Amino acid sequence: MKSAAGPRQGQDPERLLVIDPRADRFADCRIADLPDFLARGDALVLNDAATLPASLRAGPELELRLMSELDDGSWLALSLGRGDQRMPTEERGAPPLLTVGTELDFGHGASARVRAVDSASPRLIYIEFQQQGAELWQALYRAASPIQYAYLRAPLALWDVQNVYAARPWAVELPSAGKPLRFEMLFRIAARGVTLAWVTHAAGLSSTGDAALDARLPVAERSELSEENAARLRTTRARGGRIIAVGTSVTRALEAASSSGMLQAGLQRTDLLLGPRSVLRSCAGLLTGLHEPGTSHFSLLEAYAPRRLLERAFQHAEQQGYLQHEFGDSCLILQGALSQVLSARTACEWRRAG
Amino acid sequence: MALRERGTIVHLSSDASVNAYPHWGAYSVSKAALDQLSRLWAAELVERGVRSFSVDPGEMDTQMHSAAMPDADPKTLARPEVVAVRIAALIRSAATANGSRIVIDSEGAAS
Repeated sequence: MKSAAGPRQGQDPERLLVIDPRADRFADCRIADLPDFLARGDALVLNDAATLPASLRAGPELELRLMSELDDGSWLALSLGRGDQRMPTEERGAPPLLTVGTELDFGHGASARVRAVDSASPRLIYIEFQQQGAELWQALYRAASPIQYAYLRAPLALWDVQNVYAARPWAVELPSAGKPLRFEMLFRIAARGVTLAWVTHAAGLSSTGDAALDARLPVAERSELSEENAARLRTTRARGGRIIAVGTSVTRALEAASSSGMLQAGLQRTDLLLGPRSVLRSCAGLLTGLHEPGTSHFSLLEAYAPRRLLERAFQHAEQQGYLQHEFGDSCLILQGALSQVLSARTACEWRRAG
Repeated sequence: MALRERGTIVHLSSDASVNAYPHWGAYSVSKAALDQLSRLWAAELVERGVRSFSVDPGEMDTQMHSAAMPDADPKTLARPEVVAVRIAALIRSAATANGSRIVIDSEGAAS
């Protein structure tokens, strides 16, 4: 599937592939049609993590990408070697071997020390920044840039990797499912009687450039669901409404928070992996990007819909020129979407899966 | 904030928005406009649960102040971190009125 090469412009309307597992069908729509698929009493859950500048350079031979902040304030990070963000990650040179105690200077007053090296790979290291609090935030925002990949046509500004409703800077990559949801659309959705709710999930790295390491993604990520938002979602369920997650990160956060059977508020760190055999306790639908079979994101989609239907729908999307990755087109997987849209004004052409 | 139906917007104003200091025209009219924007948002967003007010923090020991008035004695100026604590208290206080303009004096007290 082709990749979106940068942030979408207003004259470039994003597409929405709608998949209805109950009807075993899918349809081509526009993202502007999304509100028509949501009903009064449903809840749309957004990940409000803002995206950190998480790519740091310590000379021409070494780039560090922050992956996850640990409870003690240190960070798990990935090292990459010679080359830059315009070069495919898998073609980057081997990074220098980093050992415990190595001091790393990122310039602009940001520096760190290697605390440990992961046993799985010398490219995975644990670092402690030598700055703290406000000093660290200032140095990080001066020294680092957003993590970005070779399919992008131009360097990204920090602004490019934020959702409009972003709040605390927890994510190291854009929680991209929310990117097409601009204020006008969110107000339209709220005006339909759909509850908006938020969770903060520290979305992590999507690719390391190494297949063996990629297989370990996503690493454990922290998320927080406030009691106010948990109560909203419990009420939605109690009244028969559907919870629709915006993004795979929201699905992981909500399903991890539902492991007791009841959606619980709180701060948690989850390494929950979802797949075809998972039973979703909270989420009834998902708004996401287009993901190719074989990725961990695709496996998560199989918790919502059978593989055969997903493969057929994504094959169709590829033929139709849909775009993937963080600025790409969107996909809505929702039980009953077909019957919902028949009573709405949206005219989509529905196709059978087989 | 309007979507979440809660929140507080703080506009950092200046006494230049109400006093006329020669040659401070652009700064002065933009701060006056900011005060009015604060009142306007207070009126527009009140039904969505969002509060807006402006704060004149007084003269602070900042980079901008030393560039504008290099002869000023920093000891006579308020420390920004002291003012920040006061502003945080104003945000937390339910008594801080929507649409108000609050002046913090050099001791850090608000009026």
